[in-house]
Amino acid sequence: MKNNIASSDLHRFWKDELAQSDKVRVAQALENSAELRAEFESQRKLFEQLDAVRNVPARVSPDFSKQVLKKVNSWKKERLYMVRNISAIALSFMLLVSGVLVLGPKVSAQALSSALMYLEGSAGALMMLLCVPFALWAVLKKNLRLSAGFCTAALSLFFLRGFNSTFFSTKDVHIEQTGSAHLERQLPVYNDTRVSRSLEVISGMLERMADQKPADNRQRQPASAGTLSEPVQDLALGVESKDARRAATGKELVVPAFPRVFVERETSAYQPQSASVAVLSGERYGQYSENPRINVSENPVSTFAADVDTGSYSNMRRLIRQGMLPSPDAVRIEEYLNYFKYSYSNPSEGPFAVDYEIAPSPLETGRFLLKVGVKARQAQAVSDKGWNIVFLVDVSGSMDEPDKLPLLQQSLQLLARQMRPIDRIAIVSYAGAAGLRLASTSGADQANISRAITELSAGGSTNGSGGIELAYEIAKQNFIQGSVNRVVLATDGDFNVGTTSFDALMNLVEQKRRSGVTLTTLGFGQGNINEHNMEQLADQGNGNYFYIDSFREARKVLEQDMLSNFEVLAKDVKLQVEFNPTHVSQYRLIGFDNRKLNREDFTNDLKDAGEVGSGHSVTALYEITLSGSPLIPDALPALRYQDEKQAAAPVAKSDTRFQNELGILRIRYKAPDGDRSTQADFPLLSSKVSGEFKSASKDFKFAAAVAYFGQFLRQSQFARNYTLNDVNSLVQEAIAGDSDEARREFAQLVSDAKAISGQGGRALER
Amino acid sequence: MKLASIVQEHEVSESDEDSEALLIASARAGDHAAFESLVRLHQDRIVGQLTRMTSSADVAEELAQEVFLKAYQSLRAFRSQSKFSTWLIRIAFNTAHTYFASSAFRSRRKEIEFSTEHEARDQGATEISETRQLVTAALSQLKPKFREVVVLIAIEGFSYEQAADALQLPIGTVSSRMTTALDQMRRIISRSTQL
Repeated sequence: MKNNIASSDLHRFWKDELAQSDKVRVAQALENSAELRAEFESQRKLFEQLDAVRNVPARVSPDFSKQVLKKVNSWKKERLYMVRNISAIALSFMLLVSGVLVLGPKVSAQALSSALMYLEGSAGALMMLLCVPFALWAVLKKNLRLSAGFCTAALSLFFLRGFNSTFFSTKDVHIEQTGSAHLERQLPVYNDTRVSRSLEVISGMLERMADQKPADNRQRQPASAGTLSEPVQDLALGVESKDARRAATGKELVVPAFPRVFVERETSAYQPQSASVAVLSGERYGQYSENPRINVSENPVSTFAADVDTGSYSNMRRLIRQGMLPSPDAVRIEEYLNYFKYSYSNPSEGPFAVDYEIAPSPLETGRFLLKVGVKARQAQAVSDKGWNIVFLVDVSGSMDEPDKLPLLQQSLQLLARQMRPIDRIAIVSYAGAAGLRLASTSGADQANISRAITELSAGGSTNGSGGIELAYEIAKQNFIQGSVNRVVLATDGDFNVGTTSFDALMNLVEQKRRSGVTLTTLGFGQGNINEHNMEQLADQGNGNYFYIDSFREARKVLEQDMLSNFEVLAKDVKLQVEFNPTHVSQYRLIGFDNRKLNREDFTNDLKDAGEVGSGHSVTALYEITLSGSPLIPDALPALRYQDEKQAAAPVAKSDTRFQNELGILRIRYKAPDGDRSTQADFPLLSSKVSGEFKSASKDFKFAAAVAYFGQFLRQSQFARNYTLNDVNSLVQEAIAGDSDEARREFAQLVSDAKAISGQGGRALER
Repeated sequence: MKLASIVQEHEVSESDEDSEALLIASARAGDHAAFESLVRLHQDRIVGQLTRMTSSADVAEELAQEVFLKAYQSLRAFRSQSKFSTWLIRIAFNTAHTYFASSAFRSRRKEIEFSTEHEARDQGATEISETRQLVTAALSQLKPKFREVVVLIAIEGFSYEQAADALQLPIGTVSSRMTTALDQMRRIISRSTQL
């Protein structure tokens, strides 16, 4: 600052903004000091430069105003939701009050239970705040019953984990991002799982307070949705749920879980094929369209990722046992097929052996079925390296159901008993009393392991820093080179494992996979299971997703198939079949709808695919049309601007070497810790085509039955030519004399499905 | 000084002002089309200012959307004595401040220091575009509170009084910030031209 003249003064002088007196002062200073004049000159340059930057037209997107309006609309919607939520709270509170005052504690407990079912998180917190003044009033009025009731309600609501987690750890929800900016806004995510347990606690306490017997039936009552009148239900049910409910009443669909108040639909950004998620009451599945029939002349190559999940099958079993058919989106036929064991020969050399069979389709005249089985080598039963397993267990309140945490504990005990002294097992819990439950312990210390498992309990407020980071950290600390290092995530659908969003979780899993720690997911219970996410996580973690619906299934996954489920023989396994147009004119891959790969992905080592465990097999079924078949290939609409290539006679290579090949199966795979893939080719000989379905193997007949059953449940367009009755006869024939439990169970499920779908026929008419 | 002076400075003819007042009234009543027109009227200016503040067109647009959303939310609170654009600018600067304080920005900071995102638009006058790059780069190295005074006064052409009013600061603060900003910029530019 020269002569008390600041740069800003010079600037203002230059802009002619100064008051007269100041102007004079500056002018005089300039006259008197050459230094100042020099400074002014150099400043002037800057002033001019700054001026030059003016009037630069901003580059605004043409749809900017539309984007703004979109934001305005969603803000309005949020506000509306909030208003409706508050009305729901107020209404339920009024019910509670009238219940307590007029009808007595038992009724008010029921009213409160129903009300709380519609409220979650912050809504519950507000309820609590409303209870407090009433509690005080009741105490002042010396009304024991009322004050006990309100105080209990207030305290219970306080300990509702929903209150804690909403205010102390909100989940981030990414607003739609434009360009490269990342603005994350915190929105509380409504999550109903924590309330369900707490409401039982509350109603029990309230009833005890009123000297009534506590309700012996601790099971959730979905029917209590009916205790509130229609208008209130409508108020509480969001628009999406209403449509789902409408859809649900039409068909036998998924079990109605609690209607949710205005849930933010989580859109997964991971799946490359834009999969929209069908929301039916709380269970979420991905939506994929089924594979069409393809002409070999146009596209002779079928590529897909080898997948050995089985969750879809056990999920279907669970639903049929409850008298419902699964939603078509929940049906993944390849998982049904691969649930069962087929008699494939073990590979004599190399990691894989291929068994295949071709016979006419029993239900589709003129078409054939090609059953291909890829069997992985069975590793030695006893490997000299120990396993390093970390269980990451969901212990939120909602896990306190007989088919959830207790079943999980039994499963864990099962696994623990098989741990050898060289194996290590650790347990980390999350979403409740989070933290380390069992430090990585050798299999020799069965007592401690068993104790830690028994001590797991659901509920408690969210505290501690348990979660996935801890689980991976422990896996890393106890890493055993060249062996199984795996985190097993067991949950009923909650992923609040300590990451800020599902995408962040996916990234973490991928990162850790690269470092050698794989991830398997186990699903339990119903009403909240998010199969889509569970599958994706398992995919990302080079592991599998299993749905444990019973102890039997737990034994299958964690005892019988444990070796193949945990020990990866080959990763990123891709299968490709190329059909020879001389013999095959059309093909259709049954299942693997969401596993399809592009032809070029086959050799692209960066493209992730499925993992195959030791001794595992992957079975795929194609429906093919042989050349010369009277069935006309599905006609395409004629081209307008070009002449159609002569597609009538398939252009086959005149090389006679392949004359006897129907096609070829190629397998590409990587070693569990490798980066480069290897390929193995297996020709499919046309001489293996059987002329009659009758003479096909039992395995073949059974697989066909499973596939057709799956197609029926999937409501496939290719299931139009047969009925469930046909499938049932097929199954019965296939299991005749078979003692395999799983297959007999399947036959029972088909029969049950027949009854559910009303195709059973009248008992009296038989 | 009174905000009325700002009205004079910014050459808004009476009829424009009237029609804008009408738009504001309709938007307040819930007319989305009216609000959209308002947005279109001011979007260039707001995005422009934010671009200069943040050195990134993409971020500026994101922020600008926030600004208009906030404007919509507090439309009721807007009193017709102030000018709508001044009010918007205030919101814009507040939003920019929040952004600078956010974690998202802190991680981008390093990039911004040497950002060349701001492209020259005038293909003809290379001199001017060089200047613009120079100035923008220098601007991006200033701290936000200095940057905003420079943007308002030197680039947007506000007078010191108008800037003081828009930023809700005493004019002395504005002057001293401007001084520091100008000195810093001169240093930065002379350093880079000496290369």
